[in-house]
Amino acid sequence: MIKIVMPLMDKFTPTCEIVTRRLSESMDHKLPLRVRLQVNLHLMFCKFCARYRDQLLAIQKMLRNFDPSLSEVHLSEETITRIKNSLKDHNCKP
Amino acid sequence: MSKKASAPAGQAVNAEAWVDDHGDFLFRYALLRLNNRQVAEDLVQDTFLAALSSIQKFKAASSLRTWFVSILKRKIIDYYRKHAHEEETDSEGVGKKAFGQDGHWIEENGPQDWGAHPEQALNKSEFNEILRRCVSYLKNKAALAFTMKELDEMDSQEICKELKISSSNLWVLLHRARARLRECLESNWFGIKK
Repeated sequence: MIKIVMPLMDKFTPTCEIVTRRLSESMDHKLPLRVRLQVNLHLMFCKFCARYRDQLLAIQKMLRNFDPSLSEVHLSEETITRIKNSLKDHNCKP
Repeated sequence: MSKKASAPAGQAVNAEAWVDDHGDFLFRYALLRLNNRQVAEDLVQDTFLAALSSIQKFKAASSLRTWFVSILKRKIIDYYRKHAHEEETDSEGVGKKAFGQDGHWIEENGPQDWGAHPEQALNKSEFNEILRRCVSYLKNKAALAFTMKELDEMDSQEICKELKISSSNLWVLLHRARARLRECLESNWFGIKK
């Protein structure tokens, strides 16, 4: 089945490399109809690109729901003191 | 004894409390976009100093944090503009080779199955840390373009204007950022956990 589909796919749709680029672009602006049709045709036969599309969408969802307060990253005590001191100095200026 | 500056409403301002209340938040904001601890710390400090200098301009209607973020955002863009020429060349060779000569996925390196609801991984704090780290691995220009688009939800035209790039440049940056991020998440989470 693959041996029949792949050459057909190559003839009528762009390569996976191009399709991944188009999938990313489709998230930023509307693709021309012809391109959209070619991409959708490719996605019907290529499980990797179909996964790629789903994964890009999933990542976008994750970032929209990302909560930075759950981060393990903190300012060090040293830095906090340094910043507070610079604010104090600033206040002291006439 | 803490010093105070006066706010428009005549209420005393304790700038040191700003550091306790907003320091970590602003630091995380900057670090995610710059991937440089020292620079992120410096910009946070600069933000508080700038805020203190222009406390008169602060309208009590919006929140302090929103105001700090707007100052910090401006500083991040200015930092990028100043240091853009120092940018490392984008190393395409990093990571697994995705595509063969014919432009198709190399079977072993193709996207794996992430399961039905990958976004639910956010429920795990470990994953949040991995996501944060993967985003921070993006290169400066790509990182900024990507975070502006996906975290700050800025308009493409606005981003092009701020970063002084063409829209086709932007598409390329976003494509590379997304591809890298996807690969990073797969290597560090989805490819391992089942």
